[in-house]
Amino acid sequence: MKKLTENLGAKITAIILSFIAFAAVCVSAAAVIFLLDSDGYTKTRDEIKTDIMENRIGNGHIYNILEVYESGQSVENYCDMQGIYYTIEDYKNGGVIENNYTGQSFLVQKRLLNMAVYEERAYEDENGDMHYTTVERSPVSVTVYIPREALSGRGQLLLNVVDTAYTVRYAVLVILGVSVVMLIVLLCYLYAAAGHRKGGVVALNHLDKVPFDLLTAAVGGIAIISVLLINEAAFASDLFLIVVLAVVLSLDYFVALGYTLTLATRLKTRTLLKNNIIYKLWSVAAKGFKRLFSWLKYLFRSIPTVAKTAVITSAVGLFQFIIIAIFTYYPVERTLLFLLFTVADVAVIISLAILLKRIKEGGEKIAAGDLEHKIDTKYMYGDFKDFADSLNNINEGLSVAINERMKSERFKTELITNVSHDIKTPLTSIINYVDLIKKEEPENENIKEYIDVLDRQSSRLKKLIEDLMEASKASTGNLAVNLSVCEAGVLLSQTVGEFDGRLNSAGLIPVVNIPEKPVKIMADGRHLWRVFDNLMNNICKYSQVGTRVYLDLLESDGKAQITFKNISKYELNITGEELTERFVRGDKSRNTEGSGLGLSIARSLTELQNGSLEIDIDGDLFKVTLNFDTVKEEVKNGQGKLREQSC
Amino acid sequence: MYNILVCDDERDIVSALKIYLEAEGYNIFTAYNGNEAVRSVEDNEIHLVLMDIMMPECDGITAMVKLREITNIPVILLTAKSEDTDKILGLNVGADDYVTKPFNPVEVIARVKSQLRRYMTLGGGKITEPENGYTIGNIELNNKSKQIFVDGEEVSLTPTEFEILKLLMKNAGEVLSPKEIYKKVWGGEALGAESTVAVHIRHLREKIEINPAEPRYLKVVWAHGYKMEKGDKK
Repeated sequence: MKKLTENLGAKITAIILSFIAFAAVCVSAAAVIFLLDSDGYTKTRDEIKTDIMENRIGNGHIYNILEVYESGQSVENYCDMQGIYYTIEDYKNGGVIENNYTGQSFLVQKRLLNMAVYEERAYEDENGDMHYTTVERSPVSVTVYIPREALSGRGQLLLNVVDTAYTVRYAVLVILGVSVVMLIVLLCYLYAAAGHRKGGVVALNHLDKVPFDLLTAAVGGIAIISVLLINEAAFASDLFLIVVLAVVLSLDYFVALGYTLTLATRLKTRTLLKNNIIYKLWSVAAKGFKRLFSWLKYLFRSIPTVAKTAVITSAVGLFQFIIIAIFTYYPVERTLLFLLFTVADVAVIISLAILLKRIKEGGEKIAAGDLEHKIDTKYMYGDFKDFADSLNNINEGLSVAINERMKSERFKTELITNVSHDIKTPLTSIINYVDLIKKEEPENENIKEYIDVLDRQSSRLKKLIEDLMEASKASTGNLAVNLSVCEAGVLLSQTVGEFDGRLNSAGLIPVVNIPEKPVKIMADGRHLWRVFDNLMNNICKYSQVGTRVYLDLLESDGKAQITFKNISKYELNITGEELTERFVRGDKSRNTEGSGLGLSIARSLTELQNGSLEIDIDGDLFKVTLNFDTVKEEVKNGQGKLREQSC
Repeated sequence: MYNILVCDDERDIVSALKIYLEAEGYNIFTAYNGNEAVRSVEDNEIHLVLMDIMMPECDGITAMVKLREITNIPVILLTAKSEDTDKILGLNVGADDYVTKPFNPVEVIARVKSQLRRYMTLGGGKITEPENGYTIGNIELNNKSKQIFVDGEEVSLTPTEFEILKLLMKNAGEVLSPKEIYKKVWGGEALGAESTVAVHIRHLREKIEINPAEPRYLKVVWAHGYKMEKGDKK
């Protein structure tokens, strides 16, 4: 079925067949209607013929005969000329007056009874003037017998048609049924196949692209022209009428088929509504209206409240006043009084608008975060005062809540800062005295070993405290971030240079991939360096000796992506997400150096610079991806700002 | 023999510093709060002060202000606060350098030596003629003899390191990108060799800076390049 709907040959065949079926339907339907109209299925052939001819012929012959009879000329001569037969009888007394019918075969008999017969007589009066008078004679009955031969060519043709139609009267029923079914089936197929092309797509052809309303108008025009043409042709000869009918109906069929087919395609592709001139005009107009409306709205908004109110109320008041002044018959004093009232109304409304404006501006300030703002309620009264007071109260409540919140945040960071500060002082002593002991010659060899432990652990404690402070600041955002245009590629190569020695001693081979074109991002160079520093420290600490470390910078679609890839020394039975939590390390035993804060700090710092940090773990492959938006335009004063940011 | 005043409210730290500095041959005076420090400087001939910021009675910043009213000797601040604002505050009220706690004793000694040399022998602000070389702070570059002196001691640099340092000192205060440095020192386009520049600068920092992670002169402007500080603001 799919194949068939896409086959062009099948479609053309179907169109031709449907036209044949349509022609068959037209012809057979015409025949059936004709037969039904002339009782072709109940009467005999001759009865039909007689009926038809009786209707067609009328009483013309009888009136002609009567006229001839009245004038006293020979009726027989007239009838001989016409090839018909007649009988004239006396209506009252009966009995034939004259006739030439002696039992000849005839097709139609027409008879009229009680026909009045008048005779015109002329006489001369005493003055010698001529006078005419009509004398009524006794009425007659006239019968005419019209044989087949007496019919005109058209009548003969009609009889032949009746003959043929009668012969095929049952066959046409069958033909009609079959052709109707065939037409319906073919049309169904054509509508189903409309628009389908090879490869299962529904596509529009040239006709389908014509605006539908234009097409409808054209089809309507054709229909009207067709009707007019047939109407005109109906007065011409039968043959001409038939030819015109055939041509016009055929053309109309194709027009209608095309029209309905494109309708089907449009319904399928849902372009029926859109592809209309009216629709297009409307949508253009609607867009225009929309723009006009939004412009008006914008205009209305940009006018200050008080001015807006003043303009509108004054306009309304003036309008009222003009209407009253022109269309009423109040005396002048009353009109002036009315003007006074209007002015008073306008004044009251404007004063209300001023109060409203004050409250509105106060509300906007509070919404914008100005919690210190107080609405001045000095000249307010009633509901306005209540409203302004409650807004002021909300404001106070809000600022109290926010102050509390800020206080507790500050307290938290201060606590961590102070505690680590207090720890640092004793730690300084520990580190220094451990160092001093190391310089002494110990009596016992064990002491040397113990001192090394103290040395190592105190350095670790130092690092831990520093990281804790940094993590606390980074995660609460309690850190100054100065974003400026930075070159990610430069930072990456700087980082590789800084870590060159450490990578070498850890037995790692860096593979760096930086594009030739500078990749510019918005970041704080020092914080971004801390992120890279932490990540590289991790790599140096936890990478398998002798493996490669891949550092890539990529730019695509306005995004800069920096990836750090290394092979882990230890088995990583942990997810990337867990690793950025505070105090989590790849090895759960926590025996190695480091605080477990590095990745957490890196992530917080990255997020502070509007970037993102993701960790992927695939077997032993450890991959950190940093994403930043790139900067498109060159920032001119960027260079000047950078100088203050050296570390 | 130089006299050094060590001032911290934590007696253990004072003793530890005293041990280290005496081992270097310095004469040590001690104080345990800001007022004592000021008095000690008034009464004795002190050449350098090492002072904590957070102290009871009179803190380091207040003492610093008082000290600057009477003397011009170098002052190194010891601080447990590693906030940038604290460092800036300390330097602004007249300190010459700072060390953050917990400190490395070797670093403290290096900074003490550096400050003393600058104060006692160089007298500050001496500028070598450009044709002979450049001097920035305690770093001296002699273009003729191809020698580098840091705090008066000669440091041996590779020819590449020397060229990089010369370039940066010539353009002191200006940020140079790794590409520019490569172009001027090696000649030709870098073509992905920018990290070579970074490696050399890292080595250079290790040679000329007391603490390469917190350089005084050769600064890393992350994500942009490198620059040499333009000497002292004083």
